[in-house]
Amino acid sequence: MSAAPSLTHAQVQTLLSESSYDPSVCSKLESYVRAQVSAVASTLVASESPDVRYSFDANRTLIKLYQFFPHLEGETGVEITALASFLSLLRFPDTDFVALCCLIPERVQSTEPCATLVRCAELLESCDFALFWPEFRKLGIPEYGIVEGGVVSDDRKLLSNAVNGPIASNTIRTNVIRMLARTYRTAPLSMVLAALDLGDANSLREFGSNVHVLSEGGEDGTTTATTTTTNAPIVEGVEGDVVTFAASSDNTKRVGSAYRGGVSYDDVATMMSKSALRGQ
Amino acid sequence: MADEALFPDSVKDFVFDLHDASRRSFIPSEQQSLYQTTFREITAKEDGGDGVEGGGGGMMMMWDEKGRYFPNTAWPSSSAIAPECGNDPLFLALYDELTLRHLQSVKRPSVRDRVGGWRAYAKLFDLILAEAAGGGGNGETLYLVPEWCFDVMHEFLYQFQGFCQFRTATYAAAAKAADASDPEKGPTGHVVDAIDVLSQNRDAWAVESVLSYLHRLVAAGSRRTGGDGASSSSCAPVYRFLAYFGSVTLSRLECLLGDYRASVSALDVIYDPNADLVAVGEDMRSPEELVNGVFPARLSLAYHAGVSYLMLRRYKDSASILGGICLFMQRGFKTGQLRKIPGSEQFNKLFDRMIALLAILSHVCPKSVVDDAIASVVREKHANNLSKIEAGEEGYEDLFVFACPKFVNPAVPDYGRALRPGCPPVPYGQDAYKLQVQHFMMEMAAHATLRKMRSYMSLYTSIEVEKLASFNDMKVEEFGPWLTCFKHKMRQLERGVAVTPGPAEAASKGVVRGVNSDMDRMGMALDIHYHVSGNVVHVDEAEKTRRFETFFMKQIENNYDILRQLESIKIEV
Repeated sequence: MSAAPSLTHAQVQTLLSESSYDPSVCSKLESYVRAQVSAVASTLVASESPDVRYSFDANRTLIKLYQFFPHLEGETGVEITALASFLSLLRFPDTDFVALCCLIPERVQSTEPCATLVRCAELLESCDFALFWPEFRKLGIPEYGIVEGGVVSDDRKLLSNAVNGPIASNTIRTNVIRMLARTYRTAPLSMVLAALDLGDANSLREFGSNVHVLSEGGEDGTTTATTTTTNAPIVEGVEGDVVTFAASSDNTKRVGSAYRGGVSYDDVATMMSKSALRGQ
Repeated sequence: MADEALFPDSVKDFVFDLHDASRRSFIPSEQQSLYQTTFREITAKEDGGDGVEGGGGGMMMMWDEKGRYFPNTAWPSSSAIAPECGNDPLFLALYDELTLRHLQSVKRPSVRDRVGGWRAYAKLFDLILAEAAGGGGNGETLYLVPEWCFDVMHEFLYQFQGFCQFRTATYAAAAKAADASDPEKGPTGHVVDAIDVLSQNRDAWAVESVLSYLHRLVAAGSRRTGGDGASSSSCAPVYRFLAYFGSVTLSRLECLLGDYRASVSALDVIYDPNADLVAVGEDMRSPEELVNGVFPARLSLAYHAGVSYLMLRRYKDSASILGGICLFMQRGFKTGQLRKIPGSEQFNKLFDRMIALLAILSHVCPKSVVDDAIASVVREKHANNLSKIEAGEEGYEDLFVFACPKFVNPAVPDYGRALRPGCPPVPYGQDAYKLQVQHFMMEMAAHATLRKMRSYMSLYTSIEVEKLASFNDMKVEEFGPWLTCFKHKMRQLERGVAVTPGPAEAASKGVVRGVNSDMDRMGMALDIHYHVSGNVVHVDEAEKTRRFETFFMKQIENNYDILRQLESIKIEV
């Protein structure tokens, strides 16, 4: 593993604005990817750097540097790419993984551990959550996908630690339960448990009590890209073999007609200003 | 090539006048006429006399059998015309670029021409950036009309794209020949020569250098009024033109590289609601209006943004931007306005490609906001493909392959390896085009099922999950994830809504402030709303999104235009 110490988030942002495509920044960006994954892997041990945050821009720039200068990939490039892909997978249902995949060559995507990560992303995208977890757990085995006689690298071990840690699983579970809550008002307990990889109703109650409903803004109920959480738990209750999710505009019947008439001020103002221009 | 000693007075006058207009007088109308009209006239000048025109000192001018000066040849070199512009290095670099652009439009460039093109652009941009950095205290020292600025940026990237394709093709030809079963049938002489030249000029058209120039040009002209005191309003207009057209070009480049997020965010400087207005002649315009005022720039922006939004699963944004430009073009084709614009022969091809993209979008996202006129063009041109898809056959790939841009492999190939047997047919095994098509098809794989699901759901207000699953030929366990998947695929980022500007004077001039990516918000591209409770799918009535006021306001505007035209008609009795 490279010995380059990790930068802080602010330093990485400065680096990206000044010398994005300079090959010499490659090792710094690789260290930052490792630092981001270390932060996911470790909950009790303080991360190596005081300020390490997920940065799609930094990870994407590194992948592009590999694209521009294939010699920079070296022996670790495939596994660093896997670490960056893993980080973007945790952002599901955002399209970070989709956007990153467009930059990763097919030969890397078909090599382990990237191949399993791609399969995991496909299962999440198709909402086959029950099938997702067994695939995801494979990444937690460091030797998985290594050719016979091969050595497990430090980056591969880092990935396995992150997969096996609580943060990764809980992050994915939180995103999955939000997606289920947008579709279901009530759902079978067995289906929800399988989708969240939880053992029983008590686990679900405990997990669900810590995930809160996101607030929705805007006149038409659309959410902004930076929504905030409310105090209401996303799981309203678990009775028998039925899970009830908190009511929202997504999982309840729309009240009244969705038709909205009227002229907005913006439309009229634009038209009037154009007419005034023509009149001059 | 024209004999350097023999060129007519009209060429000398043109060079002198263009130099004056760009470095001293800064009169936009004069420069516009020289750049867009005089240059073309001289290039294709017809002679009506006996075929002889005196250059200075009674010299005879050479031209082709139709009497044109430089129809298929180069203009005089910059060293030949340097005395006409006082040996001004920056103007000579601009002249080199202008004449190079002409030459490469009439003659297929050789590998040396392509490398020479890179040197010309690198020199030009170095001089412009130095002028921008050093010219602050000396007032305005350079003016180029917006069309010229865009043409420079556009050609810069066009040559980069061509070079990437050329070197990939050369590599592939060398690899194929090296791998041929007959050892005597090695690579041809010109392939070996091309490989040799490319190997010696590995820095030519290097992607990191291309990106660096674009970013520096954008930075030089698009600073906002901010805490550091630097303001774009204190920047000479030409650098602002280059910055905004540079960002259009950057967006295009990122799209060709497959970085769709970067392609979209490159346009933020144009849509920045806080950007200063820029002087275009006597008018003050927002960056968006500046770009829209040069139609090829507007077209390039819309096409590449449309592709990027599509690949990022932002179907409504993609349909909105592509539909808007297609509607504009359709009207332009009918009135003939677009035919007057240089380069208009390419517009039809791009229009057809955008219509193909809209065919895909209208299929996967029924809530697309496309004008009825364009929707009917889509149906007319792609009825067959869409029927194939409806029937369950594959049709998206054909449409995408026709419509997508020519993606590039940015890495410099290992040329030495290309001449040895056993090397991969593409450099580093990376086929950029194939990767993007595969990615697109993966995204489309689910849509056949989702579309069928939607068609059944829209017939019911409530239906059992089991029944809906059977309609879709699936078991309940298999079908359950699709109910969540449909909502997931259609929950997308959408661009914010433009607001009328604050300052009263900007409002009176009809300036609408931009909408950058900070105002993006999550939306739903579904045209039906459903949820599942127990084992029943409840479907709400389709949202009525028709806004009749838009129709009435459009008709009011049209009526106003017609009345104005009638009033301007002079009737003599």
